[in-house]
Amino acid sequence: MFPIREFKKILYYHRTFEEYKRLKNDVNFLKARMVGLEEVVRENTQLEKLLEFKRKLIYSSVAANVVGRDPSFWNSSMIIDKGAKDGIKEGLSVVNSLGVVGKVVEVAEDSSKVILLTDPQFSVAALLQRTRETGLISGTLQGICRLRFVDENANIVVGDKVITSSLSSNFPEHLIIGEVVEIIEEPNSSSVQFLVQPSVSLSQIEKVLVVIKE
Amino acid sequence: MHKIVLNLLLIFLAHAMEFFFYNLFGRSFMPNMILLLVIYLNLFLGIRYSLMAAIVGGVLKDSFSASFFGVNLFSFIVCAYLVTIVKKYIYVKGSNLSRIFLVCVFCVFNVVIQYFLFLIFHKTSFVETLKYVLWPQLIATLILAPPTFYYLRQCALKYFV
Repeated sequence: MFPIREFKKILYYHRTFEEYKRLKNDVNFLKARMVGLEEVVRENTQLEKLLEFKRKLIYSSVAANVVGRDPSFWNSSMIIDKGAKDGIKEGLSVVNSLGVVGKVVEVAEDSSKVILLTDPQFSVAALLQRTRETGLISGTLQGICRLRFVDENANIVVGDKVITSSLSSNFPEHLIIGEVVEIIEEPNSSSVQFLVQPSVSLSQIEKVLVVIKE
Repeated sequence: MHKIVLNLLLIFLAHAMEFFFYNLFGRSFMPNMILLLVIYLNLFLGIRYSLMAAIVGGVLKDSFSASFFGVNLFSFIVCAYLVTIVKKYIYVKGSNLSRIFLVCVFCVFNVVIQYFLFLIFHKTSFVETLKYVLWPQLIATLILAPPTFYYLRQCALKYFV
């Protein structure tokens, strides 16, 4: 038996090699397809989270995809694929399931420009979730937010959550903005600066909701 | 005519390269490729091509920007004119070091001009500008200046001369 099996191996070598090449191509094709399917699953998870968040929002909203960014040190902004024909107007707030993203500043027919909350032109009325102190969140050139106009005697510690306040006319209230990560005391004055890290990972946003707050 | 078309292609390529580096490295490495093109074109082909790069590149950059339209356009045009004057004092033909020094000077000029423009419209911190705008842009642009000039020179020798 043994010599016959070995003899067959040699005899059918070419057929086996052709079969191997065909199977290798099939495996490569299926691997590529798997990557595509993983991408679909990921997108599905993102959309499910966004839909769940959209259902919880009391205002109507329009979902949009991020289609471009501005590579600039002076600004943090992005372009979304919804515009005037979808009901987008200047000043509308942009959010996602993780929190505040930014604000619409320019609207075209099919697209809009959004400044992120780390942009120096951005500001929103904020509230410390724990102590209920009010303040103003604004962007900085270093890519992080700053909490200003807070009472000098406010008891704020690193880790405190910052949310949108009802004083904000554009943003729905009680949306998470971020977390206090650093407290800087100015050496020559009595003022204190609070640096706030946004809860949304701004470099990884792909889908957002534009809140139509009327 | 073909020089104008080539110049336009170079401007679009420089703009695309800025997006490429931003997508690859984020804010940690963002060289000012259009400024490098403006400086190079002024040094080797004269102010006309440099001004064209400044205007088209500035308009392109401003149309993607969420800040005031004209900031980049104005700063690039001013830099294009200033290169003509400043190169008489610090640029030595054939010297890589003087070329790098020129790029350094104009990176600073560009940021300073934009800083004062932004200051007109809203409060901008000088210290933050130095730390988070000038310094990273200067480093990234200086790193990319030698290879950019080398490839632009190859391109100029082949298509512009």
